[in-house]
Amino acid sequence: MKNGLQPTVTLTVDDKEVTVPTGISVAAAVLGHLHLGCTCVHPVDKTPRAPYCLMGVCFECMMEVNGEENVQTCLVSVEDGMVVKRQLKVPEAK
Amino acid sequence: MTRSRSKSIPDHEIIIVGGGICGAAVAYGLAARGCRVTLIDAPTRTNMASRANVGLIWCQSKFLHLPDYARWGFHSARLFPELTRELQKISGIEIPVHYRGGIIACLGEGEYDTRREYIENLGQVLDSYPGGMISRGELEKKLPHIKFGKEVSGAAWCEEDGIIEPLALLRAFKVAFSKLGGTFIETVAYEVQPRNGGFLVITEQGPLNCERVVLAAGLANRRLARFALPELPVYADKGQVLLVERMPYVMPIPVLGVSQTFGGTVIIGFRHEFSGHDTGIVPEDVATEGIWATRVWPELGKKRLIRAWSGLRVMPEDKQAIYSTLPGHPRAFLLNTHSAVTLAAAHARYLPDFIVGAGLPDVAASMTLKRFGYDCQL
Ligand SMILES: Cc1cc2nc3c(=O)[nH]c(=O)nc-3n(C[C@H](O)[C@H](O)[C@H](O)COP(=O)(O)OP(=O)(O)OC[C@H]3O[C@@H](n4cnc5c(N)ncnc54)[C@H](O)[C@@H]3O)c2cc1C
Ligand code: FES
Repeated sequence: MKNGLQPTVTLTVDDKEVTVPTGISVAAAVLGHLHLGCTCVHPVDKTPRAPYCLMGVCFECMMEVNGEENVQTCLVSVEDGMVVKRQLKVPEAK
Repeated sequence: MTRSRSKSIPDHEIIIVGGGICGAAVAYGLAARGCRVTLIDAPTRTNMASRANVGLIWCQSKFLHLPDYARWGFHSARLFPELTRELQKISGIEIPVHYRGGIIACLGEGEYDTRREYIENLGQVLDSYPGGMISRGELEKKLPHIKFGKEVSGAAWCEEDGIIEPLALLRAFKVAFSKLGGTFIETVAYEVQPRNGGFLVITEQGPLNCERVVLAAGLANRRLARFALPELPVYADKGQVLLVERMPYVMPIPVLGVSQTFGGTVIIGFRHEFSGHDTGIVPEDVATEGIWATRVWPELGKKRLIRAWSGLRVMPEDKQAIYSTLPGHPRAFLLNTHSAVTLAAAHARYLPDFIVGAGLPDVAASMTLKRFGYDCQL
């Protein structure tokens, strides 16, 4: 902790830089600091979705993290330099 | 005071104990024909089948040894479209459902041949059978967005199968029942006692008396029927299932054992275990199901599991439904079946007649307790 301030990390979400406290989840960063509205769409009915349960149960928080699609962002902690993208297209089933 | 009360007309005409898919279907059917019905239901730990199932309307490749029971399933499947339209209209609840057939994937030639033989025999016993075997190529045409595993040699196919959202169906039955004037009481029933030609149902909220009683409490029927039947030959048959995360909707025709739900998740499971009321989920057990599923549909191996659950099927000893009066009590009825989702339409349409005393349809006439040596009136 420097100068009595909370330590922070900076990540990029949809090309926007955001500085948030360390230790929080990506979902929390998106909800509490960016207010993006929706973060992914439902794979079946394509309705907009955003993190909901924040404990790994509802699967509403899926985003692309460092190039990996469909990551449950409430279960991932923020890291410096992390690249996060909203997932507005559904990854395909095969 | 007590005396005159016990002599007066019972408070309830018909009480149904158990509001799972079986009790709810019959309650709806009775209310629709104008009967005064009271449905009693409360959650219990062991009677969860109606909330744990896959929602398959599944007729194919079953009951070679019980041809009437096989016919009964097909008959129910044919009643579904009209019933669900009616339920949606009365309840206002949308019930997701597909009547586009069902598929049993076969791994390797051996499984394919065994399945073909079974279905050929079934076709002979039933005279007509709306299905058969399909090649791998035909399977791929039916489900073009699924890449099947290399071991998949083909499949059994039946055009009369389908899939329904089972919780929506259950809810629609209950809401429609209430809208038609039925009474629902959320309470636990402890015991049923014969009383003055009718019955006393002892509940958490006190005793309720009725002219006719219908036991539709799943496995709990064994306890509730004790006043007439020391031992009901019905057992708990545990299923354990895995739920895979949501994917785009690619399976409008369900595949047995690995079926995509209307919400996009996939339910994997096919185990039958007889271990009493044990509802535990054993990782090694569900793993066998997951491994099998990835052999059928390898893409699943890259997906996450959301959760696992278990449910106790309600299984009569000889696998056939029981629709019966109780020995010595022509106004006490017992309903116990597995596949009660598949049979829900037949239950809603035919069992009400049975309960008001008009007997069972011919195809179900052999499904009473008589076959276990009990003396009961039709
Ligand atoms: C994993 C799994 C998958 C399945 N898949 C399918 C499928 O795809 N298709 C299909 O057709 N079938 C399927 N089944 C079978 C089907 O779910 C059952 O046949 C059906 O749910 C049985 O319904 P029921 O109403 O007779 O019993 P239950 O579901 O057990 O309902 C009994 C009801 O009575 C209530 N009750 C019990 N005791 C009392 C009491 N003392 N007082 C008050 N209320 C009481 C319970 O709370 C419950 O609501 C499946 C079952 C399982 C476990
Ligand atoms: S917010 Fe529910 S799983 Fe991530």
